[in-house]
Amino acid sequence: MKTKQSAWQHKFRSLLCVSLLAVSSCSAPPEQAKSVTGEAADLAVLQQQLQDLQARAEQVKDANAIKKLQRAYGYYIEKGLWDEVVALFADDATLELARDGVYSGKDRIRDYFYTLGQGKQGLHEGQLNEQLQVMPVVTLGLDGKTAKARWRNILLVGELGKHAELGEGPFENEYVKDNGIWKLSKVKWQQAFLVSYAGGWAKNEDFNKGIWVSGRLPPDAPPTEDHGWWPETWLLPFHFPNPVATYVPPATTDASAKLGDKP
Amino acid sequence: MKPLPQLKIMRKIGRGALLASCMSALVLAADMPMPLQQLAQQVAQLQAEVVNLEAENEIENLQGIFGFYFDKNEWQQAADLFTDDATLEWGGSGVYAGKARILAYLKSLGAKGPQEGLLNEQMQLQPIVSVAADGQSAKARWHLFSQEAVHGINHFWGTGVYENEYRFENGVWKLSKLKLYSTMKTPYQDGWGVTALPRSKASTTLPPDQPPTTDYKNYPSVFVAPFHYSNPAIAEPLHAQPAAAANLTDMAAVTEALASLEKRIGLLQDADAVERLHTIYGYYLAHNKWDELTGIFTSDGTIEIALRGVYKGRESVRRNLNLYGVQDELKGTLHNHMQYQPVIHIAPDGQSALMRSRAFSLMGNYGGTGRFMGGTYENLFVKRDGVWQLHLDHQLNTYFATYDVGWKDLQWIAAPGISQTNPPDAPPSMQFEMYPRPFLPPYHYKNPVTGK
Repeated sequence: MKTKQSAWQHKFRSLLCVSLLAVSSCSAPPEQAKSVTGEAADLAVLQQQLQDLQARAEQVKDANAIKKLQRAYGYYIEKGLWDEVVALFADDATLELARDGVYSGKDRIRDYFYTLGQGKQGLHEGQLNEQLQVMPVVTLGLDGKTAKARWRNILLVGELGKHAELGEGPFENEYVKDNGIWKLSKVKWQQAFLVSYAGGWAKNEDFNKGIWVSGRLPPDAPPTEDHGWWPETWLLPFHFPNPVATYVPPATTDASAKLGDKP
Repeated sequence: MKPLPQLKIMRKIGRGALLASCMSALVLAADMPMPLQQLAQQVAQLQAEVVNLEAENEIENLQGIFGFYFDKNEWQQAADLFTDDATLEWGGSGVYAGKARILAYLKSLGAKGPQEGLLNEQMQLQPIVSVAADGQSAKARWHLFSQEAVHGINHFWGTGVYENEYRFENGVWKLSKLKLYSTMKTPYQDGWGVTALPRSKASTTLPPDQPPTTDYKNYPSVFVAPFHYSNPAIAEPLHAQPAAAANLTDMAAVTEALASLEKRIGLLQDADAVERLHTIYGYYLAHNKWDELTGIFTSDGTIEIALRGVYKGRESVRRNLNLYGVQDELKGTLHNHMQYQPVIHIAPDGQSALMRSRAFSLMGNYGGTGRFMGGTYENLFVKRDGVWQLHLDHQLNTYFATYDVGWKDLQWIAAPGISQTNPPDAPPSMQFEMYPRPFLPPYHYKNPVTGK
């Protein structure tokens, strides 16, 4: 995708160069055009090249910033540092974890996490809440101010002497750049499975059916999609198109070609 | 001055187009190009930013490379990644100061090289790399997730958080401080609901140079490893500081600097694209999206997994995927194949890339058997028509372990090997061994510090 974009940018740059050459040629007397305006035109071209490169470097920085943001979310959330977590969200962000439904706005998101933490920040003695943020697929919006990303969250959670669960699930999140700083605008995570460590996913159904908080703190809206819980399996749709191309088997190609012959 | 390609294009298009452009030109004329000096300053700023972006990638590679060496008891190789004055502190080990002492500590962990009956998967995940404004040092937080076993004796899950430091020395990034805050360790057969092991103690046979620098306990206690960064949504992003722009005094120098930046930014975008493509591979694989997965291969690309042999070309790749299940059908089946810890090297021409990464899979059926799989990818990506594609997908499995057994008593089995009903186009390109037998998957790279 990026490479396509840069090819496009290249064409765009060439077009701009033409206009910029036009500037100098139109406004300068013909005999001086070659030296003076030639340098101005060269400068203009360099400036355009610089701006293109700044924009491309900005894309790399944006993707890095979004990855850091999500990873920071993970490091805070696994320790129950709710104030730090909430600070990562934009004011009008939404949060939808597992099957709890949608919580809208920063205040409601704060309520959600504090309810999850029984009214307190931080883990309690004996609690484990490891949540590993892995496998980012970041896609930047064309406006330079929005982005989407898919992630996986690996969970090792529980309480010593009481219970232990192992789980995993995908995020499809959205991000917004606010005054040069990236924030979470939408967190949507699905609990593909979270099962008792004893026996694992072959022997256990999901341990809480994806319900964490909504029994105590009703959401602002129901889940945007609800597929049940493990051992149900489903696909959270990918926000990204195939970065190369979907394969079309030859048989299918033949069939459609034949169909094409006889409309 | 050598004219830029764009200028050549302009001159070719020539004056015919000029008249038509004059109207818009008059509007644009107010927007004069910035003076050379100002341009040079911005170029210098961009250079500094690119240096720091390159540093982030190199540091991620460095830590990933460290992890892969550590896995296989490659102690000398691992120690060579440190600065001479570096320190290492692992859990409650205390501090080992200086490269020689770090090597001694590492050697105390076991005989060098891959060992029969030893599993030591130390996954380096979730990096937050912060490069100093001057581009000469950096800090990074990482998550450690480990699976360790000594065959017939024990096996463990472990987690922890690193807060590490790095220094740019003689043109290479090195580890200057490695500090692991261990979080949790539990025997596989118990799990963290039953047993929580304390953090490691300082060795008595090879005492550290200093006692542990931070007083904390493992889970079930709660400890937050200090963050080297402030909240990224509150803090202003750090801006790279340019070195003096003195060398960018004329048009030729600026032109040359921009040409170099064009190339380097291209390589940064390439690295992003390759990592993204590899991750997408994992998501397609996990959901039996066979046509989507096949589509990211080149027309003559190959897939080679678990000694099943080499399947070449998209039709064969697609055929190979039938070995792992039916397209889109996953009812009650977990087929979670994860990829991480990528070590990516883009060729200088930006047309190909080699990547090592880790595979970790959770598989099996509800009501049936659960399984873990660990492995290593050594893949080749190529850019065709400007689009990155997967050209050679090679996975070397480390183990297949059923959930009920884990790693301690895992009996050696051969990798699945060649299918008689759906055979490959060619036999495996190389043989490998799985745990508990020792094996070192070949690296596509040399040690980034020593070149060995």
